[in-house]
Amino acid sequence: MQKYEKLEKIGEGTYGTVFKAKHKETHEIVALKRVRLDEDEEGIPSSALREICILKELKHKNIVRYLINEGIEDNKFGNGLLAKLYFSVREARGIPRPPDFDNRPVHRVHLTFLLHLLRLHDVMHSERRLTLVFEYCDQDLKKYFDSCQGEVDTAVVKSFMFQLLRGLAFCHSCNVLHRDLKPQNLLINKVVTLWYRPPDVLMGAKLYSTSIDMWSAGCIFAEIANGGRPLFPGGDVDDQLRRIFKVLGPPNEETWPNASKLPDYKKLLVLNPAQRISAEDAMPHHFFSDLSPSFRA
Amino acid sequence: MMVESEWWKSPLVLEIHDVLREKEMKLPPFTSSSPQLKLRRFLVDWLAVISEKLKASHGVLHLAVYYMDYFMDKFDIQEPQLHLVALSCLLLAAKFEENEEKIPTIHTLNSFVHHVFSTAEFHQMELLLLNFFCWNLDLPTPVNFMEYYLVHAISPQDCQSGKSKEDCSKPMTYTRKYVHYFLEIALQDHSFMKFPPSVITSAAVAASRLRLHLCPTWTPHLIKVTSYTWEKIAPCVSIMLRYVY
Repeated sequence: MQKYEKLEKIGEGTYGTVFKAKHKETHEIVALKRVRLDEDEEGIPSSALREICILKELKHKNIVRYLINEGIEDNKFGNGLLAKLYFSVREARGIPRPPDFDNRPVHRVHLTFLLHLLRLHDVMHSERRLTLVFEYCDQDLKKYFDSCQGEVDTAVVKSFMFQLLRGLAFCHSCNVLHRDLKPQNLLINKVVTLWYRPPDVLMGAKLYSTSIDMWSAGCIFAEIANGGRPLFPGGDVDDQLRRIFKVLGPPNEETWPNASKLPDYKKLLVLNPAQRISAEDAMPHHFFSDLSPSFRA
Repeated sequence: MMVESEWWKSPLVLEIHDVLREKEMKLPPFTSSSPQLKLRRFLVDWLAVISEKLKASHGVLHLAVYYMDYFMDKFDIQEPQLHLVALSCLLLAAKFEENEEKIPTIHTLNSFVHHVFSTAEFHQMELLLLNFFCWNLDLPTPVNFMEYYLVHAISPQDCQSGKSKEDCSKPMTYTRKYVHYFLEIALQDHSFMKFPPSVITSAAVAASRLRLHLCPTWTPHLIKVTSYTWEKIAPCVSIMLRYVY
């Protein structure tokens, strides 16, 4: 820990504290996420272990950086304007998702929460503490959107969505599901949000596929495009489904078993998970046709 | 609906296979230089018994043995400590690979050695191992390729034994059993460590087909799926067959 000088506390989760810190020699600004180990008889928690392994592997820089600090800032701003991507601990190589995955307290599956969208620089540990060193990013999308007062520039939406899709496409090809998009204040309240959950999962589907991330991506897309208003802010499972069906219509023989012809972001919000577009297929959409080539590099 | 936990059924199966194959190319070299190499066979058998008692998934044992091999390869470990190394490898593999409720506690693992180690010793060994692997526990093992290659192990031609159209379930069941068996053999003998995991699994499929008198042993389809020619896997197959003839 002596390598870094703590500057300020930027977040506090259920069992970890996040600090902004400076490397004493290089002056590099980083985010330190600390996890106490002395309370755990079983050594390094498996969730931490898997996340670190995934982070070491997914060194993909296009996973939206904007999200990062917005996540941390959420602590201060209450309910999330933008949801954030959250990597599930689902592993490449076909590890079954634990059956109680959805019912677990968030902190069990969510050790490093939003920070894992950042690049992990280093892992330090002592007998009592595990410290993850992440890159720190001063960009704050939420503040940016606040300053736009609900009018978000289409170019920003475009670049944001494209980066999101590319990040997803990459992770899906590594067989890693993100699985959930949830505002961090809900993390602290230990409440699992349903807002970004697809209808198949809400209706009890136990089998997950990449299409669940695409639904969440669609919800985020709509949320940004609507100036920050969540698309389906449901109160409980029934309310959530009601809200979804109100916008998309209830599922019937035509919409669920057959391919839907819904346009644009509604392609992500297809009720039938088998019909939901993949990240790979979403990227060439004409919506992104005028996107600056630098984003595609 | 696609189930991503069964990646070989994913629409991204080719990409995922590529990623696994890339990953296995980055496995560290195995030098067979552990001074305790003669005890390896005993430790592997011991871990196999324990993981069976724990009802651990198939992949956990393989992963644990990989950890143990790479770690032992680089260190001179006193014999009493070897048990701690082996159990800690099993613990890490379970933490990485297993459903939460199936991860054994340190207490349970310690019971297999009559609690000679302290919890602190387990914690220290865990950190030692994690540091050794730079926290990168995601090593591909032959088990990771098994289900995908099994899907392609039997072709419709194999199922027609002359007279009537038989269904494929019988040869499929036998192939699966044989592949399991050959992968177990590969686990016990450290000479297989010179082959990448996907070669071992491919060889296990070929050896199984050979045992089941399926012709040709290595089909054009399997060549395409695995991208291995017969020449590439033959050395591995011949070691496997030493155990049956």
